[in-house]
Amino acid sequence: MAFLNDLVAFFHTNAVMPAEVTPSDTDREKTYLQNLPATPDNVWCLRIYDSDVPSLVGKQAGVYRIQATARNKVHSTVYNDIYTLWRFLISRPELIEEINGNYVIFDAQTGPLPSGQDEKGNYLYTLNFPVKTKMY
Amino acid sequence: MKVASLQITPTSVSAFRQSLTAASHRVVNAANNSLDFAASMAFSQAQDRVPRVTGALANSGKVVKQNTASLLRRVIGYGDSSLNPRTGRATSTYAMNVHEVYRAAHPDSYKWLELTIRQYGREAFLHDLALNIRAAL
Repeated sequence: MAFLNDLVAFFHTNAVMPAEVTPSDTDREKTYLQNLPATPDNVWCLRIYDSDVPSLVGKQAGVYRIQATARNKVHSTVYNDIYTLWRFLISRPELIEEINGNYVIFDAQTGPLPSGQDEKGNYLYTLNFPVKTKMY
Repeated sequence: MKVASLQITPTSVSAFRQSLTAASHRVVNAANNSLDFAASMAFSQAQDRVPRVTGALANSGKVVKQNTASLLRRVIGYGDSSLNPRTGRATSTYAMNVHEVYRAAHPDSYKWLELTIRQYGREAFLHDLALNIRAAL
């Protein structure tokens, strides 16, 4: 999870995602790792859903495939939130960022996907993007 | 000393060009058939992972041939106008949601199509393609 912790902190610093939720938070409308919680309604979730491990050619460089999910009861809010993150990512094509001492390269190849509404009527959007980085 | 004689005539050049054209057609046909095979393999693996409650979503899956003059392409997709018998909704209205949102009830079905294509592409796609083209030639 260390990479996801760093990634959320990086996005939060750049004002495109809420901070990661901590056990002591009373305001829990923040970002969760790997699992989207049932409550509260207005949250983000960042998960690694697949990866390409380093090769003999790539040495330590591997790819994490990340899915960001934004959920909100107000459609315009979740729509603006996910597009803000997407615009942030595509403004950095091929640019190497340094996050907590490690390089990362964002390569958002598709835009946000509307994923409908959940059983409570909240709107969901997802954004999938690979991140190339040092894996060990 | 060895001497080789080579005669090039309009007839021999024409025959050579015809044989190249025939080989080119064989390669394209082989690639086309191989792509059908690879797409059916990938689709079969995706069908093993697609979540099944009523079976409507799985039944809406299909492989579509979308060749153009310069490109051989197969598209695997889920969701169309067919209705879910339990909810009455068209499968196209919820296929994206089911694919993109992780559900604890169907953990192995999360991103069933994307992950199938990635894994099949990484492991066997090119191998299957090459073997079938070679067999056809």
